[in-house]
Amino acid sequence: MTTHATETPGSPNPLRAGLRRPRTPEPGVMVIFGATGDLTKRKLFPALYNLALQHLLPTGFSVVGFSRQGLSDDDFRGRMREAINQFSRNHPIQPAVWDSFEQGIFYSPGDFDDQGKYSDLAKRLDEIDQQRGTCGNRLYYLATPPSFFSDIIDRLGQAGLGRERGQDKGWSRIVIEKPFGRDLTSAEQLNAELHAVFDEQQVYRIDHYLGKETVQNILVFRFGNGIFEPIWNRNYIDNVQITVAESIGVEGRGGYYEEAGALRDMVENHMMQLLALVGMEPPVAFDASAIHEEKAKLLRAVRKIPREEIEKYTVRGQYGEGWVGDQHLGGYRSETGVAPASNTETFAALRLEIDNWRWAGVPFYLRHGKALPRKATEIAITFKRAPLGLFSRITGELPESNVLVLRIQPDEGITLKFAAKVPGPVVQLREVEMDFLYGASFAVESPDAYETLLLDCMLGDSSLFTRSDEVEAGWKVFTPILEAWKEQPPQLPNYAAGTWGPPAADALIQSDGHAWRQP
Amino acid sequence: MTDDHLQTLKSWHQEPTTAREVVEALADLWRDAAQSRVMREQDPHSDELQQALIRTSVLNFVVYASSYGVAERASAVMAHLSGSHPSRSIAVVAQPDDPSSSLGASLNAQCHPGAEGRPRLCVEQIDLTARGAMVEHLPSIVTQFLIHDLPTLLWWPGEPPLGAPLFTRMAAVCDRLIVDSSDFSDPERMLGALAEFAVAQAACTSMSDLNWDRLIDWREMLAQFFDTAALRSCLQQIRTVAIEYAFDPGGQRTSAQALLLAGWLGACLGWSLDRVTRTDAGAYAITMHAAAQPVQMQITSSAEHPGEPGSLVAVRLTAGDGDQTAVFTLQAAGDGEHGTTTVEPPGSPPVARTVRLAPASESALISEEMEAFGRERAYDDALQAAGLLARQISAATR
Repeated sequence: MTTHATETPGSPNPLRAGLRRPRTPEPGVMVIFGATGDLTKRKLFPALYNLALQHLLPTGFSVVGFSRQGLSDDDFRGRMREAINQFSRNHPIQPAVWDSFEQGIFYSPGDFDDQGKYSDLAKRLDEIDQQRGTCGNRLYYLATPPSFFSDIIDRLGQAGLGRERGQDKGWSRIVIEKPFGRDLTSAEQLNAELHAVFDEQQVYRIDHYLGKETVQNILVFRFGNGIFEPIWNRNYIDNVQITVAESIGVEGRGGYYEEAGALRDMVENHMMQLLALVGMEPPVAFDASAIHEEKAKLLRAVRKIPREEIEKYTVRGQYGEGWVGDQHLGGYRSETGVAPASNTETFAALRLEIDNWRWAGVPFYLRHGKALPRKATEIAITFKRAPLGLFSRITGELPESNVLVLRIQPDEGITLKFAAKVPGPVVQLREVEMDFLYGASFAVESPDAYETLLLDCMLGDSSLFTRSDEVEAGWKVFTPILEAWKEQPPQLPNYAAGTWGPPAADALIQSDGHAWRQP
Repeated sequence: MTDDHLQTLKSWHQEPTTAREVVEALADLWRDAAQSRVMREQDPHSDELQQALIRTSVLNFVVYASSYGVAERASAVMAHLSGSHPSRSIAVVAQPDDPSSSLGASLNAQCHPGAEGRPRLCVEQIDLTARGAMVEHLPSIVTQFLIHDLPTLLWWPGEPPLGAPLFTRMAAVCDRLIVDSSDFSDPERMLGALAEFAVAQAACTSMSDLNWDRLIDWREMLAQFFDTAALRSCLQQIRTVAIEYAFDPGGQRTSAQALLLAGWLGACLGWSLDRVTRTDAGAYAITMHAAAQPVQMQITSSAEHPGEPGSLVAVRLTAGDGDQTAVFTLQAAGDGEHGTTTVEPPGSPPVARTVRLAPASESALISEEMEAFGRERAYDDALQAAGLLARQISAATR
């Protein structure tokens, strides 16, 4: 989503007037740390190739892979070519475009803690500047497990590749994948390490949810239309439910998941970003810094649940064996890499409140889990009922509440449920849905989230990334919950795969007189 | 979504008919479609999938066709676009020389199949045939069928009769008029006339040209050269522009695309036209003035390139002079699918990049038009500049 990028060099390009395509970034070099890993071949290179196909990569754009394996430039190019053929939404590869693209792909082997290799990298980057006109612009992408982040950041600093490079030597940016810390302390520590080498505006923390079309549409929907914002508050909204349901288990990634759990994997980052977009105040400008301000403000206003109420307002679960549709799923504890007596949660449900004038008293229910009956991500806003049951004398019932549902995936779209009269001689009400389906109205293939995010990062637009204060505000809410959970050993597993979670989750919402939606 | 999947749910045809009968039939069309679906629901032996219908439109799309052949081509485009830009489509065939004076109409309610359990997206197509004197009433007839509050696009394939009153009245009914200057038999004369028409109609209708949309990739890649801060200053120092287009073996006409690109460069960069000299059939040497120096522009044709006659083959810009000259080239490859961009900054080795540069289908071009909202300022300015150039060329060749 191209907002007004914070770095517009000099006067605007007059030839761009009227072109609806995004501005191309300046030529630069992207250094991928962990280039032989999964993320690079499944997401990063296919995204770069798709950007090249749409002419969105500038002439001279180059990539240097940095990893421990001893590969040559050609070895690395060959591997990436295969990866694109396998994982890109546009395949097979177009030879003419690939041949030109691969001229800019290089490889620099090295251990992440070997300072000498970083000096070699610096020299290589200078050579590429000379050969390919990349103007000293650098994008460092940390596609490694989080345990390597500190080393890489520190060595980049020591090699003079961070902020010390100076204003006229081109820009440098660093991109970090989630998870961003395991709790508040580790997140603050990581931020401190980053800030020792980079300014905050050089740091891009990826939350790939923000790259999804439907998530970007939340801001357009709220602030591009005049009719929704006036009712988007406690006077008209009864409650908000945010659901991220997955129908799969951990699928062999037990080793990673044991370290994370549902709260760290999905709730603390993606769901809090969704919460921020739904709850934030309108930004004063459509630019990265104004949007970050409002998101951070909202996240700071989320009430920290007091220790004694954590059990009342949070629920965790772990799936046992069961049937999801027609597929049998073994329990979480039987997955590869998972300890037989693991207490890692695969389900989390919470009731949050936001202490500000707009939202005081409106419960926000968040629910996420693996091995639920179907895959669905949605935000459901339930409005208060009509103040007067005008038709109840005739129909005998109070009308249902209006519900606005923003469906993030699948069946991307927006639905508004409201009451209408059934045709006929008596006044009878029924619920009807006004439905906007992304797939129906815009049968254009959406770009992969990584394409949007990489392009924005190269353009210097951080509106779809998270800022350090947003990250820390999120951890301030969840760290006490994680600590409380650690102290209390739970009774797990407590829901069968293919059901909507443990009974305690139902009790949580029913105690307020509400019920979970069936997405 | 392609038209292979579009299924006709219900249709109606009548000739002769009146506009009022057609309007009533349109209302009945959807009622009947919903009714027959309800009946299928009640039939326990029916195999039909139970699916809701979503009837939706994002715009009114009117096509004025001079013949049934053109109408069919337009219908294919409309059907192809119905998935991404569902619209009420109105195809008009005019037969002014027919001795009778009558109106014929067909209505089709069509739906995309949709996945099981998902609603089906439905659109409607209205085909009108006006014979004889009825042709003059087409603007008011078409008005009856436009959905309120939605933008109305009018596509006029072929060569538009710019001076004819019917053309002006049809344009006035619509928010945007789309022509294709690659269909102009005499681009030098017609572009000038089109520019004048655009000014005259500016208050109620905005103009578009599919030939201009064919230039989008060219404009984008030329603009990309100067996205880099270091090279941005070259824009003010451009000395020469060479535009090459594929030769038209059928005639001597020049390329409307080349003129539009020249107009675009001049309009964006504030160049004023000085003089034009004809150097060969369809080839010109043009002198323009930028703020700081003159700009020499050459438009030439190339017989070697296999592209569509009149389509661009290469654009080459030079900026600065002597050993401080920077060269920017965009060249279409002979395969019709790719092109190469080359940047040669002064004192640095050239950097080249292969890009996809394939001609767009008519559907894709119309789709571009449907995505645009409001006036396209860049086209308005480029058309005026190209129109001025075209008029000078016409004068120079007389």
